[in-house]
Amino acid sequence: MASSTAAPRPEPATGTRPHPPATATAPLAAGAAALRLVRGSLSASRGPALRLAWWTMLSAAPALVSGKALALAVDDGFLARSPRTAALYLVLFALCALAGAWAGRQTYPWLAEIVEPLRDRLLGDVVRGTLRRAVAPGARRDGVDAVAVAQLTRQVEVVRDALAGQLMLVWQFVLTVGAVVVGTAVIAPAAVPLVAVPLVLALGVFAVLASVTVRWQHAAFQAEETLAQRAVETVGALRDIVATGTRDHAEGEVLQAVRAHLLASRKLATVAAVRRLVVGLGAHSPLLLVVLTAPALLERGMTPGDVVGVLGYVLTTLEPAVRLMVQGVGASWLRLSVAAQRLAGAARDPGTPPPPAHPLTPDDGSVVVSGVTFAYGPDADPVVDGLELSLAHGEQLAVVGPSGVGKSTTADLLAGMLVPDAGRITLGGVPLDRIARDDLCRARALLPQNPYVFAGTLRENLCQLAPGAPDESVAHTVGELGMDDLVRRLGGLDGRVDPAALSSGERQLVALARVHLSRAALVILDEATRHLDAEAEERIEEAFRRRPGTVVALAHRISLARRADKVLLLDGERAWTGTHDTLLAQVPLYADLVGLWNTGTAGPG
Amino acid sequence: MGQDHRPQPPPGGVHGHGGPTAAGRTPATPRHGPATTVLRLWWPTALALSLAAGSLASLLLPAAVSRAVDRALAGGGAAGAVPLAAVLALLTAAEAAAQYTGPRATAEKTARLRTDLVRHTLAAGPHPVRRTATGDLVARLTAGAAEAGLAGQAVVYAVAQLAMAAAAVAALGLLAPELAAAFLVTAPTGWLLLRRHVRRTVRRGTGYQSAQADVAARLLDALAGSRTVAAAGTVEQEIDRVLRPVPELSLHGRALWDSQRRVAWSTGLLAPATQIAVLAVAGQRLAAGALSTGELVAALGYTMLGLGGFGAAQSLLDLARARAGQARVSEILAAPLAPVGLRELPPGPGRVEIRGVTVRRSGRTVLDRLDLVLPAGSLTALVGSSGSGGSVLAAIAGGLLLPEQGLVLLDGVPLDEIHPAGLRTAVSYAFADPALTGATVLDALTAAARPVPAAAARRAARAAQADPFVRRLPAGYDTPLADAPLSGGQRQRLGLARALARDCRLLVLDDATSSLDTATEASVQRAMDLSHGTRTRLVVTHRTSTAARADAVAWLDRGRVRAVAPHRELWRIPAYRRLFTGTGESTRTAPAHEPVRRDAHPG
Repeated sequence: MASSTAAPRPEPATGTRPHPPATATAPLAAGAAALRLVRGSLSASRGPALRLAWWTMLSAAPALVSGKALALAVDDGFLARSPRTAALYLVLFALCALAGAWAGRQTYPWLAEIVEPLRDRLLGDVVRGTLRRAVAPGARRDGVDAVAVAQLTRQVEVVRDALAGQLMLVWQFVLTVGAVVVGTAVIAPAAVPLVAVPLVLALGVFAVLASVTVRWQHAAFQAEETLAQRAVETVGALRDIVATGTRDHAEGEVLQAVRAHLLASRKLATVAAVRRLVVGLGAHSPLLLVVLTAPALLERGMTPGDVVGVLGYVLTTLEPAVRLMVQGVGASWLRLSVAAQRLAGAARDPGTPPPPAHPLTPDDGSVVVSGVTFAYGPDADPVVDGLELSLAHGEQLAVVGPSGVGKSTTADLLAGMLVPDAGRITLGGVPLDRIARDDLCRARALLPQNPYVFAGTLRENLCQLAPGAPDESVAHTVGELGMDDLVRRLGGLDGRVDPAALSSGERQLVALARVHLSRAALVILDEATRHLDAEAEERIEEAFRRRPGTVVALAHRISLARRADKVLLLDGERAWTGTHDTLLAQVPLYADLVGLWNTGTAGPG
Repeated sequence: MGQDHRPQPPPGGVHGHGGPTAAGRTPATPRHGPATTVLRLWWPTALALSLAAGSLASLLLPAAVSRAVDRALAGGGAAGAVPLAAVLALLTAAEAAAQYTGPRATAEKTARLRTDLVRHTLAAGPHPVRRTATGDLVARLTAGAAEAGLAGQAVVYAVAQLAMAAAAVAALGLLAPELAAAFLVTAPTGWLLLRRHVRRTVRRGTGYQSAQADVAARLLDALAGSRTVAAAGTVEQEIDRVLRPVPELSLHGRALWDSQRRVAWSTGLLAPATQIAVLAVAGQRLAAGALSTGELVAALGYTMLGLGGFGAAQSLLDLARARAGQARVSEILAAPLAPVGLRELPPGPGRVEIRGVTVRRSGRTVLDRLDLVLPAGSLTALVGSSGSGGSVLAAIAGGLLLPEQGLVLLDGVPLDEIHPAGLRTAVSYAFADPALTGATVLDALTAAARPVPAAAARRAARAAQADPFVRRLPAGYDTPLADAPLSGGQRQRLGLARALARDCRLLVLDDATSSLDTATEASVQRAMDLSHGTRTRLVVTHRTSTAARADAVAWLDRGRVRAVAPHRELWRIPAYRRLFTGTGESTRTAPAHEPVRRDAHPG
């Protein structure tokens, strides 16, 4: 047996991905992905693979010797009334079994040498692909899918277990069957075709059935995933489904997925029944053939012990091996295929956009936006349409507007995370697309609403954008933002930070300090003080005012807009620029927003 | 069977509306008749029969081989092979049947449990007495039901394997008692050794799993901060950080393989050791002439069969898993369901009467013998501090939630007696956080019991101020919901549009304009007055402007209606004013025009 986890048990999918691949993944493509994976891992660890093969071969030795030892024990020992000889052969058989088990034991370190690096590599590929795609331009800003991430790590485990199982099972099967054939040839060459011919036929049938099995396993797998996905959607929207009177329809859709899984399972049961015939053909028909031809074999000089030996091979070695092959290999291969394909998708690298041909470095934090237009699709109405804006270095701009009007989109455009469909944005006099990626990351900082704090020391977190910043600078920032208490509570700058143990406000403070400490000439705060109280917010605002550089703040409180040098008001149709007072006097929507803010019923999202 | 054990509503609401209460409903949970019981047991029984036949054949096989070998060695020709062929044919047929009936039994049971779970969950409605988290529920539906489905198969297999092992040992004993003794000494010893190693492997697995979880948690953190990472250009550092626990994972992984190596070592010794012990004894008997050569081969075969008995341990483990799964499924199915209404709703103006309604949730009384009447065609605002039960009352008013006690009547008919399709056509809901269903934006707007024309949906979208941003989506109204980057406010407006797209008798807005700025909200309300101005409306709100527009305000306080009166009259009461301002000092009714004060944001 390989690993206990490689047992061929169909495992129900417990989680779901809200956006699975739209089209059904073909089992053939999945098989190809698995083959690539096996080939890749074997060629990457050639040495361990050879050693694994060697020890597996030795572990098949008892299978080779068992029949012969049995034959000799019967003929020369028991039947010759020589218990000593019999005992000797049995001890020989025992020693062989011991040696075989020991050799089997030696296979594990080499199996680990193949499988463990593969797991590490897969995990690395998946993490790299997932993260690079998450930060690629145009990636969805919302929604981290915890279930999908959990599933990815589970798929990596499936590959680890299933690959190990395949390596052990297939190899063991080949060697065991080889041992039986060779052993039979040694005892009774005439009996070899009796064993080998049915076996080859059986393997042919098995190969044909395997593809059918994989197809239906795949269907069952997918039906279950569809079921989970529909169930998540339906239960999540149950109130609305009942309220709109579409319950029967929703129930029908989920039950349809239940039914699809049932149908696939029935087909699988049929295939399993047919597959059982392979055992009959491969292991039982040789038994019958040997018995039928035994008189003839005896006439040709075979001893009774030889007959017992051949039957011993067939009954105790060949039959279990064929059963294991028939029941284990198919299911485990399928699991490997499906997981390999999923992982190949997750590891996909989006690639990086080419750097600008003649890069320039921005001089300062001044910003000029001229005629910028952006839409999320070719047929979509623009979210930002002909935006004009100009900010001198050191100015503070507040961006306000009703919910969903495109404030975050504007922030992404200013930060160069989205590329406008038309128009131009310059930072420090240089168009954004002429600034090299690294320079741009140094020149401006964007702080989103959901602050990112990672597990590590506080210093690592604070100095992420300014590696190696001296302690004085860090202390200055900590003092400026009023986070001394937090630093003390975490045990100083070298204290460990557990993101989950911090409140939203504390996480925002850490993220704000990170940006404050950076050299960025343009700082864009996308509601970055949402979880802080008004006093802390004002303090931070002033700290950023004292810090050299331009600040663009997406406002969620009126106080921010009141104190800003300039206010940009978006209403979805057009944009106004002015100060708090001029906008209040001239634009009714602004007055309306101010009123809304004051009632405190809702902050514009 | 048709007994209704729910507390009976007060008699007043039922008289004169056609028959006793129970007559208008049917029990929601179908009971399974004798026919379904036969169907349920059919596949497990078939499995048991095929396994029994297979076991019989397996037990006969060594004997048949033995007879055939002895006849052949004695020069008796091929005649001895006939019983052997018959046994092999029976074995193959029986095992093939078992291969079919086992998975079939599991599949049928799983599907049945899943169907019951889905029906039950949907029938329990959006406010079940016992709430289960979505992820948990889906896990029960997929993994739980699949495991529970194994039950029949696992029981039959465990019994069959144990019986078979016992029979094999007995057969050894029949050949020679010493053979059975040799088996019984060797095999259990090896088995105990194996068990010890398996347990250790399981223990070591936990270190591996925690390292694995560490990587997943770091990846999730980094993904949640992807916008920060993207802006800072630090993705490569993040990748390193996420992968930092990998060496430790490797270490644990190798330790795990090491444990498995010990398990394999024990397994590798168990079978040969037993075989050799039995063979040695059998050889002795053969030498003594007490056993034939064929019987020696038979002894070998029975030894293998006896070792197969340890497979029952796996079946028993499966059975334990199946029972756990069954328990998880039953927990959901055990919750009682309300009966389904059958009555047609007669035409009426849309008068709603709520009488003595009590709702309890997790030990707390949310609504306490509450009475409220919504006059036909009126606009009632429901106002209260957060957590005072406004949303629950809104759910009660339209029959989304049935009260434990009390009665809700729509035009004189108790809501729980009305046929669901009729009730859902009569009542329209919009929520603060609507869940949109269907494939596209248009599907989400037209979701209804009776079809809503696309034109009505577009008209409603314009009324709800959703049309402009929908047209800005990649494919407008035909944009798949999954591809539509919607903010909370946009979602809310689509939810409103969905409610406004259909004609109804009662319109319930549960804080459904909370994310709209006051200007947008005012235009939505003007449009709503035009399309639904003559309908009965119930609006849960936290805004004075909305309360001021209502015909009457129902002030909800600690589960009861404290007062029903126009907003301007209630405004004189300081406690009422505090609901809106948080201070009770302001005397202005329209905060939108108040002078701007700094830090007036109370949240």
